[in-house]
Amino acid sequence: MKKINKITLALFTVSVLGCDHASLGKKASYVHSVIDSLKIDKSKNILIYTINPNDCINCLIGFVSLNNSLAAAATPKVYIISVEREIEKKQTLRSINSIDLTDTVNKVILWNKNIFIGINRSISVKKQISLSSLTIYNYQHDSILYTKLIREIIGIDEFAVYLEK
Amino acid sequence: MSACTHKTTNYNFENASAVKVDESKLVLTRFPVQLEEINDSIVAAINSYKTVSLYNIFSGKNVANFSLININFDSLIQQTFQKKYEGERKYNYNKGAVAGLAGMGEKTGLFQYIHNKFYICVSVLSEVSYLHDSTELLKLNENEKIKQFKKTHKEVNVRITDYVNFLFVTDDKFNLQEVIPLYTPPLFKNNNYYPIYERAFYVDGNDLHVFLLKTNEPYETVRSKKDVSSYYTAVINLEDETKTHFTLNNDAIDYSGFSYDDYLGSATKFYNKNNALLFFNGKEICEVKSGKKVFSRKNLKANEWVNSFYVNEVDHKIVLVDYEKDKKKTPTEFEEHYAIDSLNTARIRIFDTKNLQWIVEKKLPLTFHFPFLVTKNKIIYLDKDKQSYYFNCIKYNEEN
Repeated sequence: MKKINKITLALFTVSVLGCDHASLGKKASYVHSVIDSLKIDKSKNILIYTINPNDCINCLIGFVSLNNSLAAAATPKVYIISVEREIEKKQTLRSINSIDLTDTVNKVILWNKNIFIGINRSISVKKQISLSSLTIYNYQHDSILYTKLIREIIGIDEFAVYLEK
Repeated sequence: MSACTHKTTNYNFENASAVKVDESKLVLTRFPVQLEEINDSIVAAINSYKTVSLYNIFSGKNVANFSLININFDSLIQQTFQKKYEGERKYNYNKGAVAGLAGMGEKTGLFQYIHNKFYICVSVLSEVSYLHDSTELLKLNENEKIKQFKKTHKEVNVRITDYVNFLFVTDDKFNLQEVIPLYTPPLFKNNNYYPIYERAFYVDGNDLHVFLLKTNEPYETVRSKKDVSSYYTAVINLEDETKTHFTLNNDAIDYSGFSYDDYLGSATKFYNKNNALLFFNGKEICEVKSGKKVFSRKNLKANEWVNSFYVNEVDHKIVLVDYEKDKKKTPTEFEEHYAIDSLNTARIRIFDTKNLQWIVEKKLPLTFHFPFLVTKNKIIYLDKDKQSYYFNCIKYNEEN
């Protein structure tokens, strides 16, 4: 009897590791539902930037440099920008020349304040929902691998292990 | 929106129709951080910490703008701060390293308008290496975070980024007349004080009145304390920094019970009234020179704060907009971390300074956005819907 139980447990463990989060019947996270609708490679870890252009300078310090460093990584990227008016979106696009904010392969730009708040609310450690942050997300396991406010990131070394080579 | 009139005991309040803000030259990305009256129809506002803008409140037209975007800060820092501290410090304005999303490493958070001149405070992020600046090097060596970092990392290359501050002086059309670098005087350095220019400053000839923060403790400990400073204001002599002296302390203005977040978050202002300079801390108003109390916090409830006011000396009245802050029953971690209480019950109140009593109160809409601007005969504030921002104006006058 004991032997059977062990075999059952082992099979169950294997099946859990082998299937994705949604098929377990557990409710998918908000992040999952947002990523679900995007045309990006969901088999890789995904970089999610939540960006509030109105953050203080300190809150976005070094963001351009960080973004440039991550540009070469083959990791899919999602930029969620807290802008709700079309006129502000145009203005932001005009004023930003150091970051390419256009959709390309495996890079999606979402201009949506509600999604920005929704994502930050569901992932941010300290519920600092209005601040810009960087998150690395695994879609298949619906899990947050890394998340930090941009102003607190010291270097790429902190999360390099999660990036696609 | 239609105009309507609400009558109280002695005052009439008339809501004028909302006026759409002209965004053809400058798009607003948030509510302004400062609103000041220039004349009866023009107000000046700071937009997105980048631009000082003039608006006609009756038409909404954006009349003029002063922007930081095309200023060569690299050259400016080299000509000012680098020269001043040559041999001691090395300044490096590295926009690529410090810039945020909009590629800017500078901001403006406060201006003063007086005698047809604008004094615009501009703060610029610059990398600074303290080569032979013993005071600053000592501070770095005593910094707990750096100490910890040195323990866990063999080689640590500390790159310090700090604000350097300037006053840009322009005429009333924003033609630049002068740029004044704001060096930290020895009196502040030696006593661990730091001027927070973007909270409050006032230029009076060669005197620059500033709001102070004491900085001898790390952020983590000081932010949980009450009563965070000993002196709250000082005067810097712009021609001779050795003449700098402290001005207001607890004898003149009451900061008791202020948390760190209250200290840096409440409305604060220097205010000139008939050549008498006043200072306001969100609760009280006093004269800077004599320390005489003009308005005491005893007239407010413990959770009541003032956002904006107008002192009418002739009629012995103070007209103000205030609000209440309440602790939430179930605050989020964010609200706890930043000591954010819910704001409610914004209202216009009028205080009789002769009889020391409130005489009028009128509630404002439940949804409101700071800042309010109280003038001699109106209260101005901004509002927005999904498409546009609007100027709102409530005119008030005493019944005859």
